[in-house]
Amino acid sequence: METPVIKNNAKLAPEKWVDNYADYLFSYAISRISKEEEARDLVQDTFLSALKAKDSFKGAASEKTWLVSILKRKVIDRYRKNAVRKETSFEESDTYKVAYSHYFTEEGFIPGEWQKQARPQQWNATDGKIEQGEFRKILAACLDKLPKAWSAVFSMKHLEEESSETICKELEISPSNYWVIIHRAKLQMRECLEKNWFKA
Amino acid sequence: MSSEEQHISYFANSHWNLCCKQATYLLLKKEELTKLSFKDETSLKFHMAICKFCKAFKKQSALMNQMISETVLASQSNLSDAEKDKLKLLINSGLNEN
Repeated sequence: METPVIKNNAKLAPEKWVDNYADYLFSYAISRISKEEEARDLVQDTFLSALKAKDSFKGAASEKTWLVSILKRKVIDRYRKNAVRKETSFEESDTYKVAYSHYFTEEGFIPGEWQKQARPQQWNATDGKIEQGEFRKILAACLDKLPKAWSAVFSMKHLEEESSETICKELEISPSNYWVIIHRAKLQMRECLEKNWFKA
Repeated sequence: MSSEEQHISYFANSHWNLCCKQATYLLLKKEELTKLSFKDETSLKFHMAICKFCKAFKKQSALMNQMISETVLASQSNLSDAEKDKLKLLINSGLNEN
């Protein structure tokens, strides 16, 4: 994010935050969390945390960048909570967890081939311009069908665009576990988007 | 190493010809790391040359990544005026406390 550094002007103007940044922060939150109420809460929490921390603002970044960094932290904390909260029970309680065997054969002449029903199909060409709002709804619905821990990993990678190192550290997973989750989450997301967007 | 990863790499280590399960796994790894070990790289290239489903998977995965990040960037939602008023009140009362 390219934001000019404001020098000699480490002043914050909290009374103008809502008018200047509330929509921007809300858009940021909702693109990553997708539940409106949670996104609103995160924006509110961001302003409150910022107020508390306002003395630590040194003006090294712009006011906007600083507020976004606080929100980003909160988004990642939310992913982590979602991922960890369910960890003990998600194996048995997550009915959405699709088995590898749904996608790939486990027996036969060559095990590990695409199952017939799971083979990638021809996708309808989207003509460059996609209807963002519609696609986002379907994306959110598909993400919602992933096990929580997978959804956290997938979101941090593709919505926050964090590196695998950061994701493993934040979500406390091993690198090998990370790659398996990326693989399984991608397979499931691909199938879900194929059914609901590219073939619809 | 989880048992699943072990399963995948067990095959990858013992054969040069990958199955689709391993190939898609390595494809996603390559998407992020851009480079794999020589052996993984070579066996992946070989598999991709002969498997139309994994070829389709690769294209679709890239398209998904692109569409998702475009959607995130284009996100534009507004809070209602009532919500904003609430936030303003909250901030003002926070300011007055100090």
